[in-house]
Amino acid sequence: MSGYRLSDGGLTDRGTTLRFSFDGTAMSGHSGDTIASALLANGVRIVGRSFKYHRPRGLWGAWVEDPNGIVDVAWNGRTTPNLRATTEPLINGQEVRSVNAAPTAAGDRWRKLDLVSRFLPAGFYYKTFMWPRWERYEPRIRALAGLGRLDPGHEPAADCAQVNARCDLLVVGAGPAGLAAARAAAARGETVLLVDDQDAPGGALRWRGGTIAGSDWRDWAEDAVSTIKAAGGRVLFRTTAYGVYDHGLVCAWRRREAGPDQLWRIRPGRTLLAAGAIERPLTFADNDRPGVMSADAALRYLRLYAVVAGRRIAVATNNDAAYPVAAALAQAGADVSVLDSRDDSLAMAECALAVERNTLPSAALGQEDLTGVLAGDLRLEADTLLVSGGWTPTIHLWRHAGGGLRYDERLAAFLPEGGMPAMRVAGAANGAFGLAAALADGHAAGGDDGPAPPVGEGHASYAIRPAWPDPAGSGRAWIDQQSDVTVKDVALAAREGFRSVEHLKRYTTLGMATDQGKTSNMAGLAAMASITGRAIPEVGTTTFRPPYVPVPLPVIAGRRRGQLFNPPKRLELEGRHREAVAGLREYGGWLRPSWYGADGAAAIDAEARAARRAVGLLDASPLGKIEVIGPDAAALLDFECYNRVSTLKVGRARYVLMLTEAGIVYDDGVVMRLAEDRFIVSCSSAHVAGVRMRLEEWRQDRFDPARVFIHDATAHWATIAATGPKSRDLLEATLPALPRQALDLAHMAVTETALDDAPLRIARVSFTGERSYELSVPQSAAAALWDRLTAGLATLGGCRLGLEALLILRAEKGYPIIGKDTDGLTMPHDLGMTGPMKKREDEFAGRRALFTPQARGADRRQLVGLAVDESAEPLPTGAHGYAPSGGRRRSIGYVTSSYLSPELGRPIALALIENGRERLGERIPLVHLDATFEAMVTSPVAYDPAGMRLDA
Amino acid sequence: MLEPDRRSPLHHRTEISAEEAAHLRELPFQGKIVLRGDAGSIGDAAADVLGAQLPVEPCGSALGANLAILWIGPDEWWIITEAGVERDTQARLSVALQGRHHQTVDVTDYYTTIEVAGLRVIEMLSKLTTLDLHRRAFPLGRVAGSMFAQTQATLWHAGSDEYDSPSFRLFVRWTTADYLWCLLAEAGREFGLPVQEPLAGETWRLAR
Repeated sequence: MSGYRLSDGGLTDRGTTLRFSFDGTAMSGHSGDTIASALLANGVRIVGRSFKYHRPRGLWGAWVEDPNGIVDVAWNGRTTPNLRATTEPLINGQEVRSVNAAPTAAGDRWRKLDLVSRFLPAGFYYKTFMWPRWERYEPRIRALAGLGRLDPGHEPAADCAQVNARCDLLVVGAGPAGLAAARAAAARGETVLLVDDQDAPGGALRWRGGTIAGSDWRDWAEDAVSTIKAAGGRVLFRTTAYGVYDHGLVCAWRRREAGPDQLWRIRPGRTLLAAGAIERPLTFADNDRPGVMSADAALRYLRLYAVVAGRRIAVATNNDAAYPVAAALAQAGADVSVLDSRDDSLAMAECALAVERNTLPSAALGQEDLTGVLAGDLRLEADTLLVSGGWTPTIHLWRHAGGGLRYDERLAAFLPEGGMPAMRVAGAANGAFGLAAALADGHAAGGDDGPAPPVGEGHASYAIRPAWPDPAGSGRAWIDQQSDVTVKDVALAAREGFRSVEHLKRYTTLGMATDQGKTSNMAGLAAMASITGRAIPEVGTTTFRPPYVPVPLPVIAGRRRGQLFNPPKRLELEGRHREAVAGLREYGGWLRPSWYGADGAAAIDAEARAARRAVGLLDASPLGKIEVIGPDAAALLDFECYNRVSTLKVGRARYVLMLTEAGIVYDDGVVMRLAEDRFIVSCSSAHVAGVRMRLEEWRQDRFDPARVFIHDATAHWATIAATGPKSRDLLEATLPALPRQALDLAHMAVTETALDDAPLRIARVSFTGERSYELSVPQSAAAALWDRLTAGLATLGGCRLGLEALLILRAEKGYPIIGKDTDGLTMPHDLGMTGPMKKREDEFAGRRALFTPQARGADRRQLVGLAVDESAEPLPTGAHGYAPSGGRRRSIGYVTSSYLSPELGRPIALALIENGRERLGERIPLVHLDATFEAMVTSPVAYDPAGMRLDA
Repeated sequence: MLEPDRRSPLHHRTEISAEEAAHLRELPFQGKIVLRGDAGSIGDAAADVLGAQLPVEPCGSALGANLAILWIGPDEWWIITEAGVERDTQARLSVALQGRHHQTVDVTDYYTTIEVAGLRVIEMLSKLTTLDLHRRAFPLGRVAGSMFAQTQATLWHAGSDEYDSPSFRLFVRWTTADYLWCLLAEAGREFGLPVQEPLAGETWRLAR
């Protein structure tokens, strides 16, 4: 026999009938049911199969602790795998399927696998399928187990909002302790955030009931919620606080009836954990049979859903908490008998039912379903066996926060030990079992020194006699039902030396399933203690890690998807580039034109040629523009830059490198001196934030902060570069108002002027080797300037220049891109820039590192060019040059940039090659994946080595 | 000739509203001048130009003659002016502060201003930032820079809207203004703001 629903009672809405199916069979339930309560009400016993042995499994718990009720749910055309039947609300039209079973849970074709279980001990797969390769067996073994099946078409919407919240006090758990604490704190004027994973306040009061402050507990709970709200606090139900992170951050998953789920990131002043306790199983042979259930869960099914777990019910317990369960089920019409491990207790004395004292079950009887209970010589007919092995305080969040534990012999449980200013634990989670104790503990934790609300009679104190797994017991006794771990597996682990609880966990997978061992960890470590002759606290617990329950990934991902995943910086001129059919890609965090036109390769080729023959127009807006100003500005830049800056004349610009303290090239750029005490650092676009940070750091740590200021104004300015022999003609033709002296500017000179009232800065800086003008105007004027310049391109045979063509042009000139043509070992002299280190005697960032033996070594990788035959393909970027070394290849460096040069009509490449400058003219072999190449080491400058074209 | 074509970073967006719950608009071209210096040294001279003393209380602000002064750091303030007068303000500051060490930088086009206000504005903003926006922690006049989702912005509690709900100004970089606009609309969607589709269209692979 199996479960059924009473004709009245419970909290479900009986006026609403919801249709659903389980493994293809049509069933119905009510609004307010969970999938689990509906299955139980429909008489379903086997809700799934075990992960490894395919044993039949029924519901054990009624909430997050349940290890067995894992289901795939299809609804609205989408299947969500591995939902927990006990916490998932029933919805009309759900198609529920069991996992680890085919075609149905009851008729699983692998159900005979358990007959050979003796050959499948812990670690079996890893020990057996080693030869020749585990990967050959893995797909088939995974097909046999592996929980739910993914629906490839199910791409959940990225609509989960993430909410940042603050409060004076966060209370986790709205049971008696949490409510009492929140109420007391709110009454003192604190802003309280109370979260609970159920959909109403009360915690265990909802099924255990009680009288508080002279009336029904509901009145008191309602009053507590109003008090919290009146003080400006909030109460969130269906919200699971699942993890505590750095600085006391608590993350909570909020489910909402209307609208998508939310992730709450709560930064509380203090946190009070009142998460209650979870009932433990008892360990005996075949204790995983469908029909064996937590006593507390049975009461919960009865009171919340009016579902009775069975008709002939045996209750086995080692504490008083199971007695109200027995009484309630008897009153509901079940035939109930009780087994108690103890000789006597208050609850036992008051119990009207027959009690077998000093007795616990030794085996569950039956095959696919429970038929009876064996307790020593005693044999009981029963279709349902409710067990209570005591209570494990839910201290997960306390452990996430780094709280300590102590083992309490009287309660046979680990309890929070010591204090943390940011977190306290109260109620059953703190070992305060029973309504009176929990209320008093919570009340005090909420900051009220006065007496706690009084409770009604009939709440006996918690008395337990531990009933830990017996390693000498006969048969197979389950510890972890979801991972299929038995007492014998624990013994095997101990025999093979995996005695540490952390090793036990990984070797047997005990506690590693989706329920994270909420019901199995205590039994597992107690078994290990008993087997190895140690005390329970000596064995200890495994590490508690977030999340407390499985949290859907869309909740964690939030809105970070698609265009909002990682927003690139946008150019003011993006619209103009799109109109010109630009291919846009991300470069150093900016979305920039790669080329203009539908055919990328042809466009790149044409753009590179046009810049060499006529003029190219480049949107260079991302170039850094960090303003450095003040009497000490020159000194600061002298220190920051490898090249001396203080000798720069006003109106001039200088190419500089910036080094890390280790002497490694961090960035390059151009420093412009606009006035005696005003500079602009035009660093490379990807490094602006880093360079600014370094300048700020040196300013504050090494200089008088009052004598130099730094401000990054990069995106205030749009920069348009005209480059090529006809760049001057373009400016002259399209900007007739431009003063003559601006056009006549010498290479590496800079001037500030105005154009139609907008400030305009012109610099003669070249990244192509051609005559170039960089024009900077405020962003809001950029489109107008761009339009005027582009209008003059066609007449001169010029064109817009994308980034890809620019990369070729600069590589032809051997101009390195820092981070591409350099790596984490490259020093300035590796790039051939030895002047400053030879001449400068003052201190600058990274100086000392340039003179270590390593920095002076003969094996340094230096920037060189590589030449291959004119007809050959360009070398693959990343190909390694090598030297034969004892039958193997020793890398002597690698290709950093490689292109087909349109102007030269042959491939060019830059590379970092060991002692490269000594190898000029040498032919070296290279290898990339399985292909080999040969190239000649050359100067990095392939085009116009004399630099004649800068003023052409 | 360039001026009439001046464009703001959100010129392609128009004001969106969910009545009193939330509303959102760009305040284009508001003048923004960074002023850096020692308050003791430049304070009085700056006050003559600005019409108010530089606020020295951290995260505070002051209202001057048609402008606001926001405290950004111990030696840094932002002067927020009406559109078009920023260069004049900067010039007058430079004259008044001549001889005292200071820095002024025009960042008018570096940032734009998004005004976000309404009954649900704090709930909206709390989806994007970790700042505590409770009226006790972020009263009228408060200024703070922080991350808003993945972009940095500066938030100023500037006043109240026509329904007497809080009104905030967000100063966001030109380059990420559209991203923040779309996210603000998304944060207010449950209160009735319309969806704002982000600008799209990257081509991630080189066609060769």
